[in-house]
Amino acid sequence: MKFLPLIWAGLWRRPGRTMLTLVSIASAFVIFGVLQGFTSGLDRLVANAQADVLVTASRVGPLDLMPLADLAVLKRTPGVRAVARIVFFGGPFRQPGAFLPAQAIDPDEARALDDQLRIAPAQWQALKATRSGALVPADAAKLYGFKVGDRIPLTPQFYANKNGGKAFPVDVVGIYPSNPDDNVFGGVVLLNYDYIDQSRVSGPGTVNDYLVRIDDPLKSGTLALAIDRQFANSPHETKTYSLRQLALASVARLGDVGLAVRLIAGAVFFALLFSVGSVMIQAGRERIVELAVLKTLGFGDAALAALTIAEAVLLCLAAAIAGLLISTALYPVVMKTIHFNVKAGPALPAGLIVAVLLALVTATIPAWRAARLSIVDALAGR
Amino acid sequence: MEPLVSVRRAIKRYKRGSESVEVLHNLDLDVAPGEFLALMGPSGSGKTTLLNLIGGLDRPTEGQVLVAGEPIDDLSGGELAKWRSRHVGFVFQFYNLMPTLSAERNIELPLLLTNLSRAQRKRSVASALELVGLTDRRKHKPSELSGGQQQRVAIARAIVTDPTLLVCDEPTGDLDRETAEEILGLLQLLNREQGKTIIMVTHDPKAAEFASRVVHLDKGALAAEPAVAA
Repeated sequence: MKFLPLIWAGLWRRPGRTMLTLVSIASAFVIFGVLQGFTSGLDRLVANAQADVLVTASRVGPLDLMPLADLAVLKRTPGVRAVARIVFFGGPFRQPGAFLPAQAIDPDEARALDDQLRIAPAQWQALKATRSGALVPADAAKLYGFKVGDRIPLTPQFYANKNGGKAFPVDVVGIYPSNPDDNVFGGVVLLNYDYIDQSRVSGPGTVNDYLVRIDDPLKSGTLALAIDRQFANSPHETKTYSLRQLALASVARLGDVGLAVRLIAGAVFFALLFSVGSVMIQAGRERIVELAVLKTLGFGDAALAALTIAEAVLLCLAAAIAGLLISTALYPVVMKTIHFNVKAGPALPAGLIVAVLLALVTATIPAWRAARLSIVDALAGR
Repeated sequence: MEPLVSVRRAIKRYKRGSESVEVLHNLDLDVAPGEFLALMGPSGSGKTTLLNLIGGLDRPTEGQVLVAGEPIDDLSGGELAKWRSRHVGFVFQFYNLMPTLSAERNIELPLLLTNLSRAQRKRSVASALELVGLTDRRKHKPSELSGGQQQRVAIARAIVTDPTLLVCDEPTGDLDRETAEEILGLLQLLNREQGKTIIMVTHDPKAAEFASRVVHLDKGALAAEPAVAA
């Protein structure tokens, strides 16, 4: 710590140059932060996808409805711990383009299946007790200003109401904390299946998907095959896969994002390496006499090299942190622009490691020169 | 009395391209503790080279340099750096202060290599500043100080670790006469009142008058020593 004023002063020897260098490094880290946030967000998406929860859907497609009778078959399958029905009930809300995700479920089934849901027992009870009840995730409640007791008209994409209208009025009985890491029911409005099923014109007694929690995630592959085998040659053949497989497939559809990101970030940092490296060498050259004086005062070769490296590390870390903070603010805008909705993963640890590596590489030559500096030659201007 | 500095049959050769130039030839010199020695001579006579050997900034090609009985040319690079930080204070012609540091931070530099606490370092810096009469200028950067004030800061930096020896290379070479005399008076004060041994390279006979002994170098060898009144 006692050397910090010396390191800091060295850094600001030429404030204009230091600022420009800071800005160029920070800009690179803005790009890095967004790209790294995106890839680690995708990684987290896959990592959080539960391998022990399977989705059983119609082989024809996700919108093809399956009979509710399949529920009993699935529950009887060995290795299955819990099964929950789902009807997709999301649709536009208040304005075109705004989508409110909602699912019709059986509260007891959903509660048994998704252990990541942060819904209090009293809220489950309220849903069960109110036929037209709805449990709303906190972020949707905040976005639309919902509160408990509100009646909201849902307008699902695929269903009409038996009363002749398009809207399905539901009553908010609880607001539960959103959990973006819960990709089962973590961010949707939960409704009573019975109410929805009896109110809709088409598809009574059917579901879109079944979610199946199994005992052993290592057996997800064989169990998925066993489930599909039970419905083979029936009018409703199924296709079963784990949530993790679904997440992996979604990510794979984007192509090798990791490689693309690494190539872009690599190109940016390769260019940065030369620009920052030349600035560091130039700065070291201008300070030969100052370094010689420090050596005269008793600073050893290693100490001078360490001071030079510390300056570079401080500069790169400060710029990286600034760049990464800007990237955090910029990330949602970028995602909106490219029409992706991937929550940013952590970029700071990787960013800091890259910043330190950048500093070490760019400071190597000036540090080596500082250590090898001949006091007599430097003071004589040779 | 045992000399504080003994230069024994020192030869210094430099490589200049393919040529080897001998700057010091078999030079012997003793400096007693508490002495204020002026090294004079024309340009190229080897004054600064000799000063560099005594200050541990360079090593003789042949011969030996002993300070307080210790042959410093036997020390490794790291040991020599440590030795310099403990035993020698340096004053240069062009002050050589760190331009981005305040006066007190410049003076504190040699103390960063010690185990002193922050409070102890502050106290030592305050004493050195007081001694050179710049307490009110402690927060100023070198560019905000006059040449004489910068040299005072450099002297404070040289004495802040209480070294055995002060080596000064043309300390008044960049100053006007009046300021030069102030600086020389300060060096004389350090020599007389604090007992610092000072070796000063100078071109200026007026500056040499402040020394207790003057040694002339010519073409890398000592010339006869005329007596100088202190």
